[in-house]
Amino acid sequence: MSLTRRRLPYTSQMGHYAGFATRSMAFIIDMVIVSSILFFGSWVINTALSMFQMDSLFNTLIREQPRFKTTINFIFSPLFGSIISVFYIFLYYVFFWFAAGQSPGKAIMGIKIVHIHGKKLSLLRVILRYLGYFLSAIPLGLGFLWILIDDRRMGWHDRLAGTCVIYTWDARPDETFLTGAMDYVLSRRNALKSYLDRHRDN
Amino acid sequence: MHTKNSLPRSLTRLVIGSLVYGYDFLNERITTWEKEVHTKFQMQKDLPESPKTKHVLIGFAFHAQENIHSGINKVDRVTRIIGSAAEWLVEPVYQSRLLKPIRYEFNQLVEKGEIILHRWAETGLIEEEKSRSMTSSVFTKALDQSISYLAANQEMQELVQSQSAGLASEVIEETRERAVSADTFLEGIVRNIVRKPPRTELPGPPPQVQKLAIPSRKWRSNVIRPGQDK
Repeated sequence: MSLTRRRLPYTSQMGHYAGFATRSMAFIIDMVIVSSILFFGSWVINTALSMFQMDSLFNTLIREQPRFKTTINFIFSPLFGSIISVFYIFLYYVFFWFAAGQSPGKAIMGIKIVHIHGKKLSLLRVILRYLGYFLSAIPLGLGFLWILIDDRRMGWHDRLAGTCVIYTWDARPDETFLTGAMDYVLSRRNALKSYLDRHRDN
Repeated sequence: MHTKNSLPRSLTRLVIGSLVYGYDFLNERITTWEKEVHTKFQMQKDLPESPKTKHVLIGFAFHAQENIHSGINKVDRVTRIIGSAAEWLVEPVYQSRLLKPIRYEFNQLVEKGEIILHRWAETGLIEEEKSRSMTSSVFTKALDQSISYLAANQEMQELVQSQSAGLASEVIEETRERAVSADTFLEGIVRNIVRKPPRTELPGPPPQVQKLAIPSRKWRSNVIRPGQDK
């Protein structure tokens, strides 16, 4: 039996649009997973290269066959590493979104990407959504913040791809947490207001 | 001296070894506890309360023990005095020629007794070491086997795994609930800032979209819905 069973008065939001905080948390979890895999992968590759002394092998190859110099220099350049990383991140998101409609981070947070009309997500739509991330991020992340004011909690990338994100679990807000948070914000606002009033009078 | 190995002898070794180990352990513990009590009692300036009947009885028990101990010492001293006095009186009679045969037989018995006692002492020395070694080996092996059994036991593994999984589920559920609350809270603040009316209820997606929200079996919520029993 869970230690956190409690009665919550709000109705369930399962199947309803997921909010900004949940989606941000899912994004952060995904970033942690992706970064960890990239870091570990690069460490493994570096260790393997040094263990098998690939540097000297490639130097010998360059000396013997100078036409490979540009290619080998490019492979070992930071630009190539960045391209691989970007491609890996692209594959990570596109694969999971297409296969399951949710990345590991979204699965942990209990949300899922679906078509706005309930149809199956196509590969093109998923790729479009991923490219829409850049569109949302460019104007200082305004496309992501749009989720906070949109009625269907859709960002610009969701609007571009015709998708929305819904809760897949019995989601209900915690009344105690909300009350406490609102009380704190109101107290801060009142303190600021009284401070401004005092200084205005002076 | 070679001693034979048999089941009764091995069991005796185990019993003797356990008693020896137990005695050593208890002795060591008692010494430590006595030191702690002595230190604590020295730090305590005043007596905790005024004496009552139970304290009188407790004090009687300890004083009786001391009196018995000093009584035994007294009896021992008196016996020695009487013995040395009696020896002085009996010695001429004992050394006389009349009692020579009896004296001879008595000395023979004493010698035999000394030989038997010496043999017992030697066996005791050897067997004590063997018993200690055997008991130590038995305890260590029994402990290792218990741990191996628990580690290999399927039910124990499932119990540990379910506890770990249960803890992970708790953490994830808590995170999800806080995030949902933060969704509502942040939206309220932003709508307030952009002068939008507060949302009374969330607009629901079309039914064909809501149907796609299949709950994951693993992360089934533990919250109780209104009207639902636990």
